[in-house]
Amino acid sequence: MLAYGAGDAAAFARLFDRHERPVYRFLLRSLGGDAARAQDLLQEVWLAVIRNATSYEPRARFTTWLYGIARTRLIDHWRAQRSDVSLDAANDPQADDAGEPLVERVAGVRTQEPEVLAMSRAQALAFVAAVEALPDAQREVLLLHLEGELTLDEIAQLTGVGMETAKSRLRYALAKLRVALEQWR
Amino acid sequence: MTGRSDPDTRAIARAYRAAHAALDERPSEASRAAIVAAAARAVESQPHAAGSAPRRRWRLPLAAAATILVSSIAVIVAQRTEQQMPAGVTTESAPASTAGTGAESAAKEKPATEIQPADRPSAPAVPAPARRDRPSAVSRNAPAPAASPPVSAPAIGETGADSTARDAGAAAVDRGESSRPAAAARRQAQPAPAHDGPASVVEPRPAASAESAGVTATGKAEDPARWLARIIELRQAGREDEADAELKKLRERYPQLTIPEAALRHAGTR
Repeated sequence: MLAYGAGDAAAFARLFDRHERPVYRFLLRSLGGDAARAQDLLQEVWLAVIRNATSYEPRARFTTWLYGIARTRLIDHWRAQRSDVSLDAANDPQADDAGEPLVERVAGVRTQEPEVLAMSRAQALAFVAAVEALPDAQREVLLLHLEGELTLDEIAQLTGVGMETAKSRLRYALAKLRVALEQWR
Repeated sequence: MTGRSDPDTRAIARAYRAAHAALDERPSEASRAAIVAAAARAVESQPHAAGSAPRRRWRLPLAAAATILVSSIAVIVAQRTEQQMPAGVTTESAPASTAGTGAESAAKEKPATEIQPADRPSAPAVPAPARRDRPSAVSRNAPAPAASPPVSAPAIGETGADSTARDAGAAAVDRGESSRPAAAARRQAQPAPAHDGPASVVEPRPAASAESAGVTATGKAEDPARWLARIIELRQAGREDEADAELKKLRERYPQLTIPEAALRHAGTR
């Protein structure tokens, strides 16, 4: 990013190739599979990266900074779409999972690691549908973890919550997805 | 749970990647092209600003350095020119400093322009005494340098044997006013009236040798005044062939030198 800020166009190409699809999927899953909206937001994210290239300071990993931009764009989008919806309202992981029977199950269940996960399109659609169906806060932590490869600490800092909260959200999200996986095993 | 080493997390991550691989979700090429184009435009505009900054940073010091360099060169050239100028200025100003009569000054302006090409071969030896003698030219007591004035001396437009002989002597002597009183005093000190050739020929010789002593000391025998005096001596001694030969050499050496009558032919043969 620093190289691109100094005028190295090839540096941007490398960044874009590496992060384009993960960010797109992060947006796509967060938007419930709305590809058109995801592409619009993807452009906004990268245009923001381009605009801030010269002033970028490596206080954190570029990935953290990039997904922070993406998250902000998502929040702006949600605020425009649903003024009553806020990620902040779901900061309490207990609120998201209240009454969820999976909570207790997830804590102790360990799924066998599949050697090869060859998913059919239908299975894939079912799995991403399960991801999209997660509560916003849990999905956000999950996607930041899976797509952005951010650590829980980074996720906690980015989302403005405590480490334990981020950890709980991720745990709940994984538990729900595990259930979805078990359905086609 | 906190890391990817967690088997549950790894399993879900694999499933997640497998799902995306199966769906092959990617943004449209148009969206991708728009982003890449925006990045390229930004790079095209940013490098100008970022790239020109160092140039701007160097522009002022570079201009200052160039100005200093040019100024230094100009000063050095001016100093060298001044150092070289006195040689030319001396040859031109020396006659002016010794200008006495209107005829002389008129005649001296001419040699000032004429002497430069003729004296060029001996130029290296001339500047030093000229510069050294500049203060004495102001005092007018010391003999003037014998480099260029002798060339202008023969231009004095007097006629007659006496005046010719005297001019020949004066030509041999430097044209400085200081030399004239000395010659007159010497003439008065001599018992015989210096109305004829021999006396007038003999007379300038000491003056010539005295005034051209500096030149002689440097090994220069080409002093025109002394040369003329020698030619006149040869003619008066009847050695016309030698005088002609010397005259020929003198003219070759100083082609623009005005030769007095006494040096052209013997007074007795006129």
